[in-house]
This record gives sequence, structure tokens and C-alpha cells, in this order.
Amino acid sequence: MRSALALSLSCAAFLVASDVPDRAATLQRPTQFRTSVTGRGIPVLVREGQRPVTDLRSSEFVLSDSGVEQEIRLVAPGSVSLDVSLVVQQTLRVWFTATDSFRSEVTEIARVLKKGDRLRIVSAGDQVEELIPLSERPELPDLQPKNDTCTPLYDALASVFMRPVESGRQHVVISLSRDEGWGNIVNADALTQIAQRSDAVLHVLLAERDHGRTIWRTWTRWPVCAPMFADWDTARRDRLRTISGMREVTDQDRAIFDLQRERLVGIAKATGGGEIRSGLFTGSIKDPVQRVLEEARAGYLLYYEPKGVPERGWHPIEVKVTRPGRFEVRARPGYLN
Amino acid sequence: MARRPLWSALFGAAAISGLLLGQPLAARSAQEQPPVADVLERYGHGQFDAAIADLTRDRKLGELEPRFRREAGRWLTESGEWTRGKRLAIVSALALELVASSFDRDRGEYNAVRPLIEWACGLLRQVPPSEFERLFHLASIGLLQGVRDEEMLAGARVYSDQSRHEHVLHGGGRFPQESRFKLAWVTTRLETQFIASWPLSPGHLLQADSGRVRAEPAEARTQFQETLATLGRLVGDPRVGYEARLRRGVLRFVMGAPADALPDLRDAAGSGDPFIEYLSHVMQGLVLERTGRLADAIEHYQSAMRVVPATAASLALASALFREGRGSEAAQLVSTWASTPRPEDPWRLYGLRDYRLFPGFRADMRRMIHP
Repeated sequence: MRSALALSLSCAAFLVASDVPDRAATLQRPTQFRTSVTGRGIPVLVREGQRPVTDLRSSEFVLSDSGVEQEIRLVAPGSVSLDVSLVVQQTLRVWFTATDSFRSEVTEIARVLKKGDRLRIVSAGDQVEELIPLSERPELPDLQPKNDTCTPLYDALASVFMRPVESGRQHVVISLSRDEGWGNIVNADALTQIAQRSDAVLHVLLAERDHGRTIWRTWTRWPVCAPMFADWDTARRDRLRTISGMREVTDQDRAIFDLQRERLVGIAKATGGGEIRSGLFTGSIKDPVQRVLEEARAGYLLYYEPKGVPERGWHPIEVKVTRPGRFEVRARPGYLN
Repeated sequence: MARRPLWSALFGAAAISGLLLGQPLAARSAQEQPPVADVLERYGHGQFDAAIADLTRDRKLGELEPRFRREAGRWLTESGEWTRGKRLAIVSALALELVASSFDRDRGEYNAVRPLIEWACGLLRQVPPSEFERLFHLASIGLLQGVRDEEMLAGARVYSDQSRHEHVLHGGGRFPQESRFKLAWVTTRLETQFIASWPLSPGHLLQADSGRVRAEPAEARTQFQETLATLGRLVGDPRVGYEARLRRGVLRFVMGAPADALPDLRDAAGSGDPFIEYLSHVMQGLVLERTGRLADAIEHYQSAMRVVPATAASLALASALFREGRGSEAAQLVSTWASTPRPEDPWRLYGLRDYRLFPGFRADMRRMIHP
């Protein structure tokens, strides 16, 4: 699939601010264009120091696909509605539910959505379960702690990466997990490829490994699902052996956690996202989620139809800002077609 | 004036009410519980679920276990409507159901009632083998597999009490022709319980519960070869042959030999058992994916979906379609299953072995008690 996001919808029309950076002006003088199945939309965040730069024009961007400069159309910051998929691992959901905080957390997150934004919540448990379908007014059903033994985060992430996104919207995926999870059928290689094809941007929040464990461990049934972390390549196995030894292991949990974090964050970076490190689960998740959404709103969407590049395979992308100054540009490193 | 703590007030009120009623609270609580004999009678007359609900409602199973043994033991020796054989069947079936009722409770509750299985097993083994006893062993093994009580199944030191049971062998010793007991014995080995879409490290397969890698690969591989050979002795068995093939194929796959896994997985697909057929197609798809044959893998995932439209096959199919550039088909599939209730996934049940058969075995036991 060329693009799971808007661009697969060939007849879609949406608002752009072709060369006019001001949002109000954009809204007053909407420009419509039609996308095609071959088009791509690349979310780009530009910062100067800590401050997002939101007044750039399309002529101040240079986007290269596979080394070939492309003609772009720009959607200005604030003009795109967000589809937010919150993926919660079952162990954390159990913790949230048992501590009665899940409902209030979701309510808080729903409050930071702007008009037109939508929220979906997916739980990674014995079943990958959509707790809330994509909705502008999300309402959480009554939830009880469940006796799930599987926590397949990769399956849940794959299920949201593959969901279609309407034109003019950006898909932001926020993963709340303790690890990669148990019982996945989608392995790391497959998820990486899916992430590289999807237009969703992934941000990962990793809880400290002991969170939820106390509650989880008291259930009668024990997990039998296979974990992800056994899928190491030789280098990683050697590294683990170096860190902890194969027989007498004192700090192996830490090593496993670090390896999993490395892989998850790698997948997030492949989508243009990354890790949110904010003392998660010592308090509310509302603030880190809000920061992610504010960043997404402060970003641009650069649309283009690839020209002069091979149709299939890996397409490395480079985005530069030509305006004088010291800008940090964050965008996905490429996509798979 | 200092405020009196709430607990103190409650304790005082409770003590006063106990004094007024002229009996301690604990004794009243015990009197409210239905006599085990009454529950056994109801169970014997076919009021199965109601009897269990009566016995377990709002009660700690740990408190119930010694009382059940004591009162059921007494009831066994009484004369009345039923023979001792029938009474024995009722007691052992109800004991098993009590253990099953702990599954959605705390692990401590399970630990408190699990000795009932060996207690009932001991009673049954004092009389000549019967069809009911065979069913009891099948059901109890399935139940223990469902909770992964390897210690009781095979004497693995999973628990700290260090007690040694080998419940699988009790069934196997009494019914040497029942091949499900042979399969149950092999599958007490951890490496036969894991299914994955990628190879697992040998150390992990031997120490999976802790999620840690402890065993040396060479040591693990020796054990795996023994396990493969033992499974190989069962592949010709008409009762468990297909499952033995499936488990041998899966083990070869997770050991990192997908090509060796394929013949077994292909054969297992002819089983006729949806659980085995589904998993054999999913696994064949995974093998083909690893060898770069994504289009062929898609066909197997579709076959699995036709057998059981469960999550793992759906996701494997959607994932393969998406990576093949068939995004709209993948999206359609994911959108559909996200909003539709799905059946229990054999992928998740694989490690729980015969637990999937427990409802059937229980139904058969109940039918023998009250046709």
C-alpha cells in the first residue's frame, strides 16, 4: 500500500496553505487540490531551539525522495485534524483499572483534543481489543481488570498502523507499554515494515518494568505466550551475554528492557516519532500525551507525488529548511513502497 | 476529644451484635454455608452450576477446602440413593469443579484448592479403573495445563512447597492405552508449549516463565532432540498423531529450522480438529514468510481464517497483505475484526494444551453422573 493515510483516497480534497503560512489566512482562502494514489504526506516538525517554527512557506522547504528533489504542497500547522490512537498494554490497563485511574486519564486526554480531533483506544491483551472506536466524543465502557495472559503490543500497533486515515488528517499513535509484549504474531521485522509503509507517526511511552506486575502476578493463570525478546540477532545475544552472563543473571531484566526499548524506539523513529521520556506513571499520562499532540499540531504536512524515483522499495527522505537560521527538522527518514 | 478510629467503631459494633445474638461471628458465618452433603446431592441430581454457585458464592475457597474434604469424605460412606461408585464420581467431579472455579480468582485461591485434585485422584485409584475415572484424569490434566501447574502435572519445582506429584502418570498408569496421557507427559516440557512467529533462543525455551535466559544452548538442544524423538513416537497414533505432528513442527520452527517444520505442519492440516488445522495453516504461513514467499503465506492465513476467524490469523493475513502493497484489503480486514467479537484464538491456547478440551470432558463427566 502506498499510503495508509489520506493519500490513498484519490478523490479527497482538503485545505492547504500553499504558500501562505498564516493559519487564519489559510482558513479564509482555502485552496483545494486532489491527491492521487501515488502521493505521500510527510509530517514535519521544525524547531528553532525549543520553539516550534510555524510560519514557514512551502518555498522554504526542500524535500528529496531517494535523492531527487520533489515539488511539494504544504499544509500549515494547525490546519490538520488529528486521529489519535492510544495503544495500551493489558498489564498497564490492569494497573490503571485497579487503581481506578484509567477512566479519569482517558477523560483528561479527551479534554486535550481540539475540535475535529478524534481518539481511539486499543488494548493489547488476550484479544487486541478496540476499547473506544475512533470518535470525537470518546466514551469509555465499564472496564474490569481482566485475567489476560498475553500482552501483544506489536499486534496492537500493527492493527492501528494498518487502519485507513481520511484525507486532511494526521494519524498519531501513542503506545503505552511496559515492554514489547507476549503472544505477538506480528514480529519486529513485520512491524518495522508495516510502520515504514504506514503514514502514522508513533510515539512510545515505556513504563518502568515493575509497573502492573504486582497485580498481574496474583492472577491464577500464568502467561504462556511467547515474548518478543527472544528474537535477538547474534549481536544482541552477545551483548546480553556480556551484560549479564547466560547462567548467573543479576541484571538481566534491565538488559532485556533496554533491548526492547531500543527496538521499539527504533520503530518509532522510522515513522518520524520517538520516545517520550517524562517520568511516566509517576503521575498522570495526560501531560506527555498533550505535549505529543501539541507537537503534532505545530508541524507541517508536506505533500508530494514522487517523480523520478523507483516505484518500489525503500525511499529515503530528506527535508531541509532554506530560511537562514539554525533549525532542527524532524521528519520520518523514509518510507517503504 | 480525640476521634475514635473507624475500625475501632466497626469492631465494637460487631462484637456487640455477636454478644446480643449469643454466638461468635465466625460460627454464624459457618452456619450460613450450605452443608457439603446437600450440595453433593444437588450436583448428583443434575443441578451442576447451581450447586457450585451455592458452595462458592462469596466464600474464600481456602476456607472451603478442608470442610469439603471432611464432609464429602463422610458423605461418601453414607448409604442412600446412590452406590459408592456414583458417590465417588460426584465427589471427584465436584472437587474438580471447585478447582476450576478458582481460575478467575487470585492465585492464592487456586493454590488453596488444588490439593483436591490429588485427593480425588487418590480416592478414584482405590477402586478398579472406570470410564468415569478416565474422564476425570483427562479433565483434571486439562485443567492443570490451563493453569500451567507443571509441579502437579509432572513434579516440576514451580512452587515453593517442594511437594512432588506426577498427576499425568497417575492417569497414564491406570489407562496405558490412552495416548492423550502420553502426549500430556511430553508436553510438560516447556519447549513443546511455545508458539511464536520467529525462532526463540534455546535458553528461553527452557526458562520461559521467568523470561530469562539461563540454560546453555548446547544443553537445551540435547533436550530438544529428545523431545522431538518422543513426539515422533506419537505421530502415528490415531488419537494424538496430528497434534504430535503440529507440536513437532512448531518446535522445529521455533528452534530455527523452518524448512524441517514444513512437512509436519502440512500433514497436521489434515487433522479435522479446528484447533490443529488453524494452527498448522498459521504456522505454514509463517514458515513461508520467512522464506520470502509472502503470496503463498497469504493463502495459508486465509485457510486458517476459514477454519477459525481468530485474531492471530486475521492479523497475520492483514500484515502480509499490507506488506504486499494490498493496503485497502488489510485495512478492511482490520476494521472488520476490530468491531466484531472474535472466537478464542488457538494461537493463545496452544501452550495451555488440553485446557481447550476441558469443557467437553466436564460435560461428559456430568452426563455420566446425571444423563
